[in-house]
Amino acid sequence: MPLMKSIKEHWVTVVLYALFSVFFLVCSVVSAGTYSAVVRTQRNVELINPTSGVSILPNGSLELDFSIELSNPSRYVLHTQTISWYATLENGTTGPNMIITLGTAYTGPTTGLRVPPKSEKNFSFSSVVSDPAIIARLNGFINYSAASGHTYTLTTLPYNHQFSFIGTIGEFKNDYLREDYLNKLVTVEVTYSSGAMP
Amino acid sequence: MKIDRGDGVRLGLVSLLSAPPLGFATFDFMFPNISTPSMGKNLLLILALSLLAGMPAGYFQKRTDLAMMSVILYTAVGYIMAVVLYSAPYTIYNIENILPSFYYAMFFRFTIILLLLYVLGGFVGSILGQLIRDWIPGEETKLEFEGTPETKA
Repeated sequence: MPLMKSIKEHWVTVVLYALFSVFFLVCSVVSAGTYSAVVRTQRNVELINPTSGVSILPNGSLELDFSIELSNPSRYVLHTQTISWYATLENGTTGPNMIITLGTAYTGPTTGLRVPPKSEKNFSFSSVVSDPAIIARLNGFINYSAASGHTYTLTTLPYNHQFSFIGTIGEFKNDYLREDYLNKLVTVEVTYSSGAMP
Repeated sequence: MKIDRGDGVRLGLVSLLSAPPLGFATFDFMFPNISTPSMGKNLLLILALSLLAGMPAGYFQKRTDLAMMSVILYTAVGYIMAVVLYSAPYTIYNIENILPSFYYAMFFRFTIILLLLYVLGGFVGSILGQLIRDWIPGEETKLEFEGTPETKA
């Protein structure tokens, strides 16, 4: 067969050509595997076991606690970009005083906090509300709600906890200036809200 | 243009063997931060790669029209391969594709320059491949004559 004869005649070139092709085939398979793992990480990272508590301290201040776990089942480390927590109460009226903010926490990207692969990391927050003006507003809300048939106390008010985690996956480059889709590709963003978002 | 069975087999083989570099280059062009190794959107490197990928088309095909056809065929196969690579997480793991329009934009709008480079590089590469193929027997004959003591004397 002329083709076989030609292959035998140019066997060095044929072998080099096949190696060239196989090299890129292997690179493609490895890259597609990485791509799949990254996309799965984005889908599988989740927030679990949220817990919250309210207590009244002996001095009359209100203490709000919140904790949540970030589950990272992927093979990549998650590098924290931002963590934020807001504890609020929706006042039910419109205008600038609609949201009563009771606690906030924000962590920026400089802390170097990491979530190891195949692990869970617990985040706990606490806020003490001692400002009499805010306590008065909460009591006002309780009185206002009583008029519409709701019996709340400071410990049973429908506090809303919002938590957000934004992190980058592994050591992949994520600081592109123009190609924002590449930054998003290797970024995980998970949010939790215990009540309706205002 | 007549294509016999041998030509068809050659066309098929060249299309299959030259497609992986282009498939990888297209995937890498869209996702340079997760591909291994990465050319980092360097168009000069991509042109060099398309030259290399085009050389076998000219080396293994004596007819220039078939060599050109091989270039177009393996570019098409390479593109199909890149789409398959891009679809891997959505087909293997059944993950929902949230941006189907992005899928279209990625491979048919953003990659026009790549397509141009692949075809242009492939044509130039196939010409180089033909030149190398024609140059080797001449060089062999030259060396054969130079190496014979009687000829030298």
